[in-house]
Amino acid sequence: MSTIDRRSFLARSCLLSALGWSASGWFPAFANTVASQSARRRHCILLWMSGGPSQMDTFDMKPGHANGGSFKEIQTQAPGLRFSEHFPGLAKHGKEIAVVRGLSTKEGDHGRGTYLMRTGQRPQGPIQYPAIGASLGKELGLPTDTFPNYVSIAPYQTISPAAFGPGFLGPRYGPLTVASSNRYRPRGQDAGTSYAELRVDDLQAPSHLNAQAVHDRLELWNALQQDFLTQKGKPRAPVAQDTVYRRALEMMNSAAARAFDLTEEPDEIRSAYGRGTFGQGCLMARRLVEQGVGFVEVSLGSFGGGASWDTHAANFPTVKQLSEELDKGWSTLLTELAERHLLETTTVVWMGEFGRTPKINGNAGRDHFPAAWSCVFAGGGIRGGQAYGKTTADGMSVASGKVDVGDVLATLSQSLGVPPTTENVTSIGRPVKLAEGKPIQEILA
Amino acid sequence: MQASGVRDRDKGEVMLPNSREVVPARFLLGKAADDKSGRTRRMLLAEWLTSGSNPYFARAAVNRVWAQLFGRGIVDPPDDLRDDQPPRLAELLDELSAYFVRTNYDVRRLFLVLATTDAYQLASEEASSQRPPDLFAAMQLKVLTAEQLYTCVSVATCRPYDKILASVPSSGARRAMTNRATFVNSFRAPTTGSTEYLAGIPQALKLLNGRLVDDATDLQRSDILAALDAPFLTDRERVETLFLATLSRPPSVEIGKKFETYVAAHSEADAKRRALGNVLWALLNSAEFAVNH
Repeated sequence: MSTIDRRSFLARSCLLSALGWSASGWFPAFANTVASQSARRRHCILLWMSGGPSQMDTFDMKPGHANGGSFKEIQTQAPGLRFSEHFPGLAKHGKEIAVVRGLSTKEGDHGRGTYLMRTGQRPQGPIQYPAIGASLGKELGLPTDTFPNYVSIAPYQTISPAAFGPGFLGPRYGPLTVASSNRYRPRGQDAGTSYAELRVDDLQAPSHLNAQAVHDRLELWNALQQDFLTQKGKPRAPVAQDTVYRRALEMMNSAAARAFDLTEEPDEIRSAYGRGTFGQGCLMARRLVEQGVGFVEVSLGSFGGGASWDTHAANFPTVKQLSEELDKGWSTLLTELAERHLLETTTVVWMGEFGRTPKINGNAGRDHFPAAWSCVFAGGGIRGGQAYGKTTADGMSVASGKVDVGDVLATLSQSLGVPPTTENVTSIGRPVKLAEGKPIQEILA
Repeated sequence: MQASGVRDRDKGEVMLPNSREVVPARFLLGKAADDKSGRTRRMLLAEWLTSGSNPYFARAAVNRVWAQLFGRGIVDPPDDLRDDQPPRLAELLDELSAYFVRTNYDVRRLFLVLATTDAYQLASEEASSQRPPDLFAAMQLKVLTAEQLYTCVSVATCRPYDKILASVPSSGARRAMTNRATFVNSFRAPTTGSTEYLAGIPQALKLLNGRLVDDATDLQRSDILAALDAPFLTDRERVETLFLATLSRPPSVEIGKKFETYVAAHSEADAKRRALGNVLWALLNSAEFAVNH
């Protein structure tokens, strides 16, 4: 767990001023930039449902049909829009939420589906496409930002590492990853009082170093940098290295870094989000958005330990448990963003790699199903209180409003004020659009 | 994508869309790729690719190796080989291509020849220089790749590094990444031999605070720091040794004096070692260490 207490924060700030950075007026200048631009800044929070969540038991219910399952529907605050009974918190935010019910994709394998939904491209050919977090983070950030604009909280990357990477955009646009140090399993005395721990690797100097050592190191480093950069007449690459390092050092001591320290939050807030990895991740996402970070993703559902959306067996108890976790984290996130007037500039999107079979299998489970499923948008740039598209009564196919992954990502991009036609160029000079689809105008504000 | 699922299919034709008309497979220069000997098309392609009559392959390969060593191709970008825009050093490319064919595409000999040229021995120079880069009158300043960076830290600090899991058949084992693979994965850049610094804040944090450099400067385990304990060494020599190990050059007079003074201020053995560890840390994180110049 990375804890940045106030004392070490102040100590480190003094170290920076010892190097003459603060004295040069850099810090105040930076603070002003942030203040003047924070109003225009847009943010995206992706709630990534690893394993493939069941649309039939969440946002596209079929009560009364044999495929419907055991959950009941509840009315949301938006007339006619209904969710699963396990989303009482989200139901109160119905007017901010738009469900896309006609999503139809072509990959039914975890790895391939994950890559498809997170990059907009099927995994084929030599080009490594950037995760949407990398490409949108690049657009939502400023070149002068002293924090990364793509933060990934508790991701389960093993299933498709490339789907979490920056691809041809290069490592600069890759995510700062927040690891969950232990899957939250309340036991005995801790039950109901402890929180899942989220940890950012390498955010602080190794703990065995004292303040003097850190000071000495930076001073020696500073001397080397100046010596080399002056004699080399400022060629691009070393100057870029120097810039990136100074931003990283600045970040270590910045308010943005303190956003990772959830112990600053009062207990009632922390518990309102839910004590697990996902809930605490949503709280961290809110804190990061407050600091200006462009794209934050929070994952829910894992493979191997912890509940997974991959419910081939015993679908209902697992989906109920995950739904409750999801509802707490997500609805508190929406409430808190709205309270801070950040909901109008922050788009929240919910999706996984595919949906699940409408037909319930012999193990009371549901299998992989990319042909007709749902994703959900909320907040900034979204006209909430509606469902777009429809599946048939049995849920087996899309009846109207059929959209593909490209349309979903184009909608997301458009809702953030980033034209989906924005192009990046691969290393072989091939232009690639941010999203190759049509924004769903009906759900855009 | 991983090539693990690639197999050689021995049949199958490409047909025009919405018709049954077969489009016969042809090589780039128009010759049909049919063969009665029963060899696969992949073998035929490999033969055609490396036959002396194919003018493209050797040029492309030579240009890429050149780009890897020199930071830019004789034709640059390296994949932009075309007839209508010959490079300024066209003769050089022709001669190297002919050599590559003559040596039966011996990549090792090609590297040997290029690495022993005067051009490769040149130092990089100031960015303000007016000399056109495609004449290679000075070395391009190259950023170390992730693999090079990891290996350089290991070599400079006399620490063994774990090996790549090469050709492990099961996918489960391939996923279990070594320290090196984890490091390389987070730094991987889209192209090799780049002259641009592409890493960002997460990568800088990893080098500043992460395990690789922390282990390398560990007072108990670092072989190079242990070696510097030798009583016959002066502090100046200790500092010089660290510069030579990391940057392959002694420090400038001014920096040498500054660093020597810093180390000399710590007289007690443990404190001195810590001070040298701090010097080593600064060197490993320096812009100069990150580039080949």
